[in-house]
Amino acid sequence: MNSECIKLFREPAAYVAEATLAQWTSLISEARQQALLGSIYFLLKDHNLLHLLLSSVHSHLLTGFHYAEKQKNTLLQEMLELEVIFQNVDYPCVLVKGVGYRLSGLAFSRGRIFSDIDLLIPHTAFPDALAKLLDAGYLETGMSDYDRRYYIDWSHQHPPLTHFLRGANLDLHHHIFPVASHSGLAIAPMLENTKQLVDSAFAVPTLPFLLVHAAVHLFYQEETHKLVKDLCDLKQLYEECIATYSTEQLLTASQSMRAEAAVYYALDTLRWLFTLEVDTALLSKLSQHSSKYRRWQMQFLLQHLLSASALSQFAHLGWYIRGHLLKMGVGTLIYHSIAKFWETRKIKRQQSEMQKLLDAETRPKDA
Amino acid sequence: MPLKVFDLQLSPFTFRISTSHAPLFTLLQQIYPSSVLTSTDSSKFIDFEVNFDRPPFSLSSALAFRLADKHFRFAELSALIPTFEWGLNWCVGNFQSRYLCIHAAVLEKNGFSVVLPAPPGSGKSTLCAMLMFAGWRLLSDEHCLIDLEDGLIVPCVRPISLKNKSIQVVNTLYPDINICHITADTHKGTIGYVTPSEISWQHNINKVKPHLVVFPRYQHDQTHLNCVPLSQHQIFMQLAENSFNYSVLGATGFETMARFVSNVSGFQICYNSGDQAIALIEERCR
Repeated sequence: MNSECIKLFREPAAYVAEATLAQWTSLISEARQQALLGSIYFLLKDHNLLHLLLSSVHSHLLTGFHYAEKQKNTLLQEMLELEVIFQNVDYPCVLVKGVGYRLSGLAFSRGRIFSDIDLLIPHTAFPDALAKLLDAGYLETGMSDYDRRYYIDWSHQHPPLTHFLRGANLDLHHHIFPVASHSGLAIAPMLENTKQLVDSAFAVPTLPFLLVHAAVHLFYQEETHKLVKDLCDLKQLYEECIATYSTEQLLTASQSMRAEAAVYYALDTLRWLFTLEVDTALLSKLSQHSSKYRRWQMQFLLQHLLSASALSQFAHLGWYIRGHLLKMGVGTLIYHSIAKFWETRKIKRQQSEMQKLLDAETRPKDA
Repeated sequence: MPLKVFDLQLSPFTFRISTSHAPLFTLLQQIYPSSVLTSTDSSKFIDFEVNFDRPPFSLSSALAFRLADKHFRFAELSALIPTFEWGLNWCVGNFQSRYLCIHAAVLEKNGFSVVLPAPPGSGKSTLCAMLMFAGWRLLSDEHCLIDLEDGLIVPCVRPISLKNKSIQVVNTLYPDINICHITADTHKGTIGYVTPSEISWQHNINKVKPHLVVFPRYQHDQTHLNCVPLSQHQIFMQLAENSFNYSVLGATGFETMARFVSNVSGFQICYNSGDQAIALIEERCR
């Protein structure tokens, strides 16, 4: 296991006491790439370890803190705009993932960076919510016809929206998992088990449901570039959840959404990666819906994804195929893979040419 | 191609550079002394691990300047050093907020400091080079780094980048000075680099108190030096405008800038003679 971030999140005090300078270098580099600098700042602050750090290391964590604080202010501004848009609707508007964590006031979200606002609404209200957002200036940005069709036909969200003036990114979801997957995940319980924000049009799922969502996201995703961040998030989310809710409530949430397997694999992974104590009775009940092969597959791939082993490139491909197979059937995957291969090849070539043109024609900011 | 890895210890930051373009190290030796351009040192913490290499499977000879997964820009081999230097600026301007970072040159003499913030084409770097040749210690030609804790200016000594006509001006005034890596046809025009003076390298960790802020503007048809004093709020706003991370720092940025501005006097000068500008700055620093 070569991820320095995971080592730090596993045992912060031991890491701070024992890490070499080379490890700190790798940690800051990895944390910058994974957008974890702010999260680590608060983790070490909460463990009263900041004063033990090398000043250079502290400086970079402070940078993460500053960016997270700036993003918090930007989010509040954007939420004021969204309040106006959704103030009189008669359907639930539920904020999930990063913004949900932040607006729930979860401790671990203080230094967390997120890339967009994720809004979940019932499928029946989807056209109305989309029309409202489009009217307010949240527009689809450049996307190929194929990708757009992929989002609309197979995924669980509309193509990403960006406000034409403020640049805020928003993903409008009607489910937490692609409709093409036939996974059987139920979304209604998540829309029902929420906590309304004070004087707001928006609600946030209760912690067990936020955790189920994070587990589904981790277990069924095909991307690897923010895997370490997702794992560290999940660990902290679980710790906060279990401090307030019983394991029975977490089990009930998992069962109501028919997501027992995903939650099992996620908690099992946390136990393995972070040596986290997870209630064995809970794991035992969840495991009834799991498969030994899937558990092995996930651990094998993660082990190589999180290390610089000879198999890590293979593991990236394996994770990609595995994620897509879970999201769609074999036939759809073959069709999608061929289409996406040509699409990506074309886009990469265009982007490379565009980047070179842009580099040649624009000045760096300090010019 | 095997990777060549080396360190650039540019206090307060250390960069680790990985590249398969072997001549890069030799090219950098012309503008960085061996005290800062070193082989890798495992006893150092590295602030920025830079990859300056051809992207995988690229058929082009262009190198990409990258910090982890973030791309800065491609560099054709003919413009390697300018792109590399801009890449270092990009790291400092965008990926640190330990210091309030203002786009400005900073120099010091006899304990007095002068900060020269200015947009491109204002003659900032030329005046900065002339001050250095007049015995001022260079802290930076690009970044005025203000420590958030004590409000002092932190040096980040690196070569002065001269552009277009200023190369000829410096060549004429100081024929003994070697301007390295003169590169034509970049998006900033022709660029060349002057290595900092010995004293600047020697004192590259010594902070200074802020004293004077001068916004220079070179105007070739200016008949006499014009000097306009600036109020504290004018200095504040102009510095904020020239800052890379003022908005990121939020309230801390405001407080740091306010403290900085309360300790300085400032003016705007319009000049066509560097000597006159230097005389004025030295007079104000007495």
